Amino acid sequence: MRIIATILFIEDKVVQSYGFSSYRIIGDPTIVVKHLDSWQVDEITVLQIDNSFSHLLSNLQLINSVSTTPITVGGGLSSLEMVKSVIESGADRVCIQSLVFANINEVKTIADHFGGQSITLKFDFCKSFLASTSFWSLRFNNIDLVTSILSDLKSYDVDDIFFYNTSADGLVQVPNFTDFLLNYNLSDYSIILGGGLNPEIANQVFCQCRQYCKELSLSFSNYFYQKELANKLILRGIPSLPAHRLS
Amino acid sequence: MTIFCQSCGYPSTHPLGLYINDQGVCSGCITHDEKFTLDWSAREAKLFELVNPYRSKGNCSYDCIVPINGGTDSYYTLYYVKYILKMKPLCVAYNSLYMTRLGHRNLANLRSKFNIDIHIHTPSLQQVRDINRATLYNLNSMYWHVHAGSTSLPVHISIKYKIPLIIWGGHEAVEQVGMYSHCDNVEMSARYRENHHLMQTSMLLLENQFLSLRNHNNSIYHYPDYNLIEKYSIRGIYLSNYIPWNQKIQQELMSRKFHYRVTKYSNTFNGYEHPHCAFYNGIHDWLKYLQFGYGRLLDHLVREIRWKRISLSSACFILSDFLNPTPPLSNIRLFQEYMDLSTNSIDFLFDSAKNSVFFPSSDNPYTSSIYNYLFSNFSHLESNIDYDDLIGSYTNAQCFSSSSKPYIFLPGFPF
Repeated sequence: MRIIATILFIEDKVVQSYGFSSYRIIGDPTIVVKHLDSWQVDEITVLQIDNSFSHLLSNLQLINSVSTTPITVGGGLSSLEMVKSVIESGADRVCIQSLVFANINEVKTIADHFGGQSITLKFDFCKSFLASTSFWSLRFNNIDLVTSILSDLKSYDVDDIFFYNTSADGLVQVPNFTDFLLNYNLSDYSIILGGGLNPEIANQVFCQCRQYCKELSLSFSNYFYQKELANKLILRGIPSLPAHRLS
Repeated sequence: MTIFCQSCGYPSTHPLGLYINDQGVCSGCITHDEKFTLDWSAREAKLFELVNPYRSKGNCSYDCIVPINGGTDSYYTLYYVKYILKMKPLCVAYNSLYMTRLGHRNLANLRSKFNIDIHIHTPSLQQVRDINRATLYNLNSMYWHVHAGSTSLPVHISIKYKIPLIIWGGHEAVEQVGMYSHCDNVEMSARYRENHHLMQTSMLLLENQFLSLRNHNNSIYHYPDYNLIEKYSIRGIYLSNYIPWNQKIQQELMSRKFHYRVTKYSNTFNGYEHPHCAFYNGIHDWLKYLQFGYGRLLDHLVREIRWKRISLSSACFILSDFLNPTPPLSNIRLFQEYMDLSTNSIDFLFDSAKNSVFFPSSDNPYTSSIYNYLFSNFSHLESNIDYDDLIGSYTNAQCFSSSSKPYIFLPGFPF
């Protein structure tokens, strides 16, 4: 099980998002990443939520200069060239979202070029399975469509999926992954769940959802900025983990 | 390009990071509005639940650490911890060497009125001078050592005496820019300290750049290792997440009940805050003004606006009296002499600190474009209060006429 820190960027600033409707500026990315490294998170996901590619590259280069943790990068990646630039700037994987629906062949090209293991597919969902934010609006309560995309890309060894609950605001709206995952056959996939997670519900989510997939990881965002040693608190909230992860 | 909150007037260039949404309202106002809407009784009950496990079993042990400086939030935080939470605090104070006679008086008064133990760390004058030279050069800041020492010392004492809970008063980033919601229950962290209190410059960085600093024992400015924090489960909480933090009301209460004394300033109407510091409302505020185009006056006006004590229009109209400020020369010279700095150094400091983006005019070199914009765009609407009224509203606490001279130590004050 991986603990993943998801860092959201608007321009060059790290931000907290509350259900993608309200934002607060946290501060400098190098300081954030330096402390996440000290806490030994398993992976860092960088999402440029304003889709500014120039800022994404410069933020990535900055983070790479201080961090040794594997980095996944996403935010408006829509071509092989963009993915190339990102990988050359130090990313270990890329996070693909809109491109899956806009041009799946480009995703296959990227998988051919860099390997399927370099791609994490990200799907946003909310209570009504309608994913809509200020940047895109997709309706995928058509389960067949998503299932066909997943099985299509599975032949390219793309089996890492990030499901993000956009209606979980980290304050009042608690994420519900179980109902959502019931609709999919994901036993061959590595799943990352994120959106409004905190230690209090991490154990519940982990125990309920691990049965649906090959490997389950949890992604935290806001919580990392709110508590000292948040990583340790999260791990202690999941007692079903092996002992060595808790030491 | 600088944009301004349409509700309070804060600029988006605030050093802590201010997010302004599509409606033109800043994150600070959005978080502040929670003070009117949250169920604070329930939140206070949560606070009691949170602190109960930390109460010591014996009569002699301390339950928690309360960082103090004799001013601002110290009195109220200590009052709340001792008389509402009914805990036994060990107080910890970092002596900034900037304390005025009033500051020493307020600290002595706090000790006797609350009958508490205080652990005070006083650095050497030469150490503070050397650190100031480094931070004035790098960061245009003479307050770095105060932030570094006052945020690290409580954690060191916490580890030394195995008192894991540290209780702070208000969280400045929540109060000013709404960096977090109150519901996040944000706690003390090394990351926040390094990013904001230390302005992304740790003592380690300074020591590597300015080798003269290695002549001193700077351990108190280094944050303890994460292993120790984890080993002793150290955590720092903020009362402002659990009770609606209202500094004016709290400070007036402390003045009535415990004789906390305040003073008056020329740069702002709010004499309740930092009366203990010789330089906070002098050179320190001037440096802030040069770097960011606004000073403590705007911070205080924004607070009045958010508490709905004055309108944005009134606040911006008040700024008209401050469009052409002059440097606080006597305070600057006092600081220069105290820190053994040359006139050339001070002149260089102000030249490098001054941000030309906010001071574009060569005819009026100290006229801020921030204040100009606010006055030009918001002051024409209906005003409900003027500056004299505002000063009058801040005389409910006992005022003490005090010189701004700093004292490292002073002889005792009568009980």
